[in-house]
Amino acid sequence: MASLVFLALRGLLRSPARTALVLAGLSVTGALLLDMSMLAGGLQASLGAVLSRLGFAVRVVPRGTLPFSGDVEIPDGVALARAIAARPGVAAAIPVVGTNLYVRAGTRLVPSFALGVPGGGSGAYAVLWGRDLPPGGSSPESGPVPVVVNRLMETLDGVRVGETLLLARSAGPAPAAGGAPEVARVVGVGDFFFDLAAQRSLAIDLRDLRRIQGRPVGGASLILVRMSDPARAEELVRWIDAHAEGADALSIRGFLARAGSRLTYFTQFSLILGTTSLLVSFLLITAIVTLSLGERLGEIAVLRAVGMTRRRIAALVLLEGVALSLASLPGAFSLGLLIGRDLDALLRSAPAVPENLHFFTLTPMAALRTVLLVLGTGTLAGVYPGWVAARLGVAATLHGEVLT
Amino acid sequence: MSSPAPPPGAPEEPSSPVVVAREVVREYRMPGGTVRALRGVSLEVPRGAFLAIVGPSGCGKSTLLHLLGAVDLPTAGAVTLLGRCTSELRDGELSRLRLRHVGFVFQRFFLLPMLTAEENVALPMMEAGVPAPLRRERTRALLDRVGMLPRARHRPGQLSGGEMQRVAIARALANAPDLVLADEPTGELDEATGREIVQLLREVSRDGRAVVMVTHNPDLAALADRQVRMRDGTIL
Repeated sequence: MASLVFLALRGLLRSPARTALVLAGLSVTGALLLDMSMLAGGLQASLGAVLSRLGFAVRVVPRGTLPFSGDVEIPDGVALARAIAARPGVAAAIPVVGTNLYVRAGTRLVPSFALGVPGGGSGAYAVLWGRDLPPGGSSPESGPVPVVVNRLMETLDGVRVGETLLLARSAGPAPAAGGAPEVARVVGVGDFFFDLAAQRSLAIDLRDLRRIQGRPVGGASLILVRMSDPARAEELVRWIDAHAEGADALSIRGFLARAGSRLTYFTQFSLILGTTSLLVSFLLITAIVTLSLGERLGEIAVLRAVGMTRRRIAALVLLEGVALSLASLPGAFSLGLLIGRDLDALLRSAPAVPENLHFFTLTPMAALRTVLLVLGTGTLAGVYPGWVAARLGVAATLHGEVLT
Repeated sequence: MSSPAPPPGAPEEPSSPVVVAREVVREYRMPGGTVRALRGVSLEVPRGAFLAIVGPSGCGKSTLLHLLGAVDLPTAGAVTLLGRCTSELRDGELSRLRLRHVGFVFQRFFLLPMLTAEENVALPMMEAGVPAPLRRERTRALLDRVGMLPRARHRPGQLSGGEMQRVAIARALANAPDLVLADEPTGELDEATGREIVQLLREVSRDGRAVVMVTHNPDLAALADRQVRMRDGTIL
């Protein structure tokens, strides 16, 4: 085997310029394959990484939805959160409400996503500087409502810690149905993990938010559950599904599965383009190995005459295909990562894409899949020329080579 | 009662011929009909013999050489190489027989262009599984013997025709074969270089190996111990 590997690798040097061109072509198709492999599961992998980082093992959402995918709320979400918090293995259950508010900062009126949480320390965002929301919210008498704003509001709108804002349900006059504008004071600047690109966000105490909305405290857009015993997460999911009508409990795996079912077009897209790139690689390697074979029939016949069996000749040609595909991998990965980075930036600049999510994520599985597919294609591409080489008539070929 | 054939690689009796052709016929099916390249040729090549096969183009010299070297099989008759009838062997057995016991030298050298001279020589030994230290030692000894040691690291493209043929002879001797077959080994060389190459083959036969050389050149054939003349697929 060592002699075959040696010969196959040396075969790459037979015509260096041609090999370089073929490797360039294979690198391009391999790069496309890597990108499609990264895209196929990239969003889910990125989402999974963010979800895991936040430390919430279970999320409870209105039935059939994903967090903040609409205005639907879990009825009695706050009570359900209390009941969940009392379950074994649960460290905390935090009801969260998401809605849109208008924020007047100085002379500017801007829309913002408001995250209603039960006081500070919820873990739904991380305070970067300043302080977190105080526990227990505020009352109209106690002064301005404390809020934590995201960095975009600081950089784009110049909002600073200690600044006063005006929060309102709508851009116009206060609706008759209740919900008056509230004066708010910025107490901190934070990183909001699920911010969309160019989205202004702020965190506010749940009761303060409900007051601005003119709605009673009770429902929740989402309940975030942190486990003290992560092994009991699936058991909790089953309990919630059995006891909470109108709500779905999702473990991180379940969450990703539900998100994945809504992202099938990415999978289909990557499947089509990935298959195309494999086909092109296959044809490229088959063509070059077959052409190269035609140019060195004499050499093959000599190898047979020297004592190489048909099987080993076929293996040698197969290995040449594998060697070509193997040699293309560094180029494919370099180019693929470069293109993937640019494509990722392009897709992430689309509206309604969370800032911390990535479409093209290099996971060990994506890398392994690419390597195996590239090597498999190289092997398959060598089958036909290998078969041709193995069937070569030694004497007739030697005779023919001398005549030509 | 005939004695059973020895296993592959088993040493032959010193007196037995290395290769024997008995009433060998070789036919090729061509679009215009069947061509009979050999018409009942018989030949024995003993150890240490240096045999030259001469004759005009198309008389069947190369065909006979290929049959003697087990790269081709006769349509009728039998070729017995080291006591084994080649027609009765499978491809793997024939390949092993060639690897261990036959060395080839070709008119067009057929060195692998991407390998150096020493790698070309080492190739049959690698194929035969000779350990690397022994392989290196033997490769250098062979290159030294054919006067090519100073150019061991050169690729075929950097060598002259005569040098390439010397390397090809070293390659043919790599696994210490019993039979060396040279098909027009001087065909692409000038007269003086051709003579050197034939002298080298003659020395090889002095080691006890059987050497069969096909040539057009009667002067070079005269350097062999014995000449076999062919015409129209028969030995005269």
